[in-house]
Amino acid sequence: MTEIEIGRLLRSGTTGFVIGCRVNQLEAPSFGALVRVPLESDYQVFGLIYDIQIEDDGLVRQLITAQDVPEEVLRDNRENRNVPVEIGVLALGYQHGERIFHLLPPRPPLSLDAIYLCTPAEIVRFTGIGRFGYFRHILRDRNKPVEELLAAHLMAARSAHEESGNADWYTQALQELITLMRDDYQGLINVLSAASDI
Amino acid sequence: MPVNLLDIQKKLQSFGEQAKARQQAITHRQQEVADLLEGYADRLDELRAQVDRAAAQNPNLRCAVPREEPLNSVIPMPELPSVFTLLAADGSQINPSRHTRIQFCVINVGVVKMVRGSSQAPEIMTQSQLLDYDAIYLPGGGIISEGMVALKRDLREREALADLAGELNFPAISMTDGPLELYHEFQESAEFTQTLEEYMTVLEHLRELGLITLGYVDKPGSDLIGRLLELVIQPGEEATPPIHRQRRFAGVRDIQLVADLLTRPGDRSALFAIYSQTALRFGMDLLPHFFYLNVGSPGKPHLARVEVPGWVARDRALVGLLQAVLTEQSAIMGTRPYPYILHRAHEVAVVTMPEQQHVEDMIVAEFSRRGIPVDEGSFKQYHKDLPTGKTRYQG
Repeated sequence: MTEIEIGRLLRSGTTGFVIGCRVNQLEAPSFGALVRVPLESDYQVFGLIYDIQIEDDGLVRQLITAQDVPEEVLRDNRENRNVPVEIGVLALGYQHGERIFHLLPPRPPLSLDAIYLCTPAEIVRFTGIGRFGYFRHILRDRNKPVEELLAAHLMAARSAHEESGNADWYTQALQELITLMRDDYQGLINVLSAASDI
Repeated sequence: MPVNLLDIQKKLQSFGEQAKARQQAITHRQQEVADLLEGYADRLDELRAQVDRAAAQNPNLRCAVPREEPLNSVIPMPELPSVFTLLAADGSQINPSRHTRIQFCVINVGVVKMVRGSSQAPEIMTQSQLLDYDAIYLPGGGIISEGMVALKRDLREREALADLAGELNFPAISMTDGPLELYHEFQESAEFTQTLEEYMTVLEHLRELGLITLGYVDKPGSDLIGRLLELVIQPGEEATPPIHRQRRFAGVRDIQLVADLLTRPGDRSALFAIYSQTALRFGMDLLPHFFYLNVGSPGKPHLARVEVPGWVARDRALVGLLQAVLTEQSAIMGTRPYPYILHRAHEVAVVTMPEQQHVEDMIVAEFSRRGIPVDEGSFKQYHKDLPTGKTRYQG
């Protein structure tokens, strides 16, 4: 399968990183998508997109006041101008050699490292290992839209697992969430409510 | 040390009174000029003869010359064609400075090419020129002036339009910000003359390419029409040396005269030629002409001056095309009308401080490789660059 590069790294930390991309690269990444950053031949970091910010600038603000914006001007601003798009990614784990760990990466990616969307096979591999250890990274930060993020992730991962013949993955994932969130009734109800929309 | 606002406050009252008195005087003069504009609206032969008489007495005469259209003409814009090409160029420069480690000069020109009606993204191009080392140091000592660099930049802008035009979907229009006429203080220098000749060669080349050329002046302060009408009210004054001469209509800008006429978006004034010693050197086909254009929106006019060469001015259809194109381009910028493509060319051309530093580092590295000694930057500049939290106002 062709690799889809969605941007390059702007800044990073142990728990997550921010990608910058051009507006015309924006069709591929989506909220809740699993991404990976290959760092060396045998080491790559995995993460989940939790935020996409499209910044403005003075010219864009001025163009908003126009009655009509010609197609050429739209394309100029999207393809030629440095309109920054920033994508926030939550670190979920890493791969070292053939092993996948649902632990925070030992060191974060570096500036301008390329970020790729995970293929369905990569999603199945990362999410199918172990006992959903990466869920705790998602649940840790209540400042993020956790319920919606989980719902978006579960939907993409469920589809990938079902295509690969594993119809039980989704049920097991929900059971694990119920266990992890047993002391947070309202949060659990929110997650299950969001998941019911899948 | 901050600005002493108390000192400023003490001065505000008299400052305001002076401004009000000046405004009243200008309003009075403006009415006089407006009356003359109406009175002489169709007396174009008389006005042209008056310019000829004044020019014979005053070699430094600078004013508008009416062409065929009555002075108070209002010409609406035609329909916009469905497909046309727009090119805009803008330049910026790094001036040589004795405060940097080495003295160098860079002229950077950005060109944007847009084919309206194509639905394609515009092409963006830049040309960066490091001036020859020998061009920076003048034969008589000293370094090239900022004015001369600006002149070379103006020339490079037009050259870039010709170089980068490529294949064109006609009609094709090229524009730059500022007057078409090169207007600098050192007009009699040999270098100015040489640059002017090169400039006219480029304008001629643009004409051969079929590329309509214009210069766009936003918020124009010119008073060329007022100067023309001064000639009929002060016919003998031209013999008086300029330093002793009182300008009868000083402070009255042309746009104040035509603002009440050009009420609809796309309306333009009559076309005028520019009379000046520099303009005369252009010859009839390239002679700078101008008109005022309302590029604003309904109920909110905004006037710009548009300068075009003689060959464009003679063709009403081409002038109409410019009216429609500039009005559309300005409308794209919404509440602050200005041609979008010119703004984009400016964005592309501008040289940032980090870029300037990078170029300087590249040159220093080349000098080091060749064993050429490199000075330190001035300590004055070093101390100025220290972070202080307070920076000079960059209006």
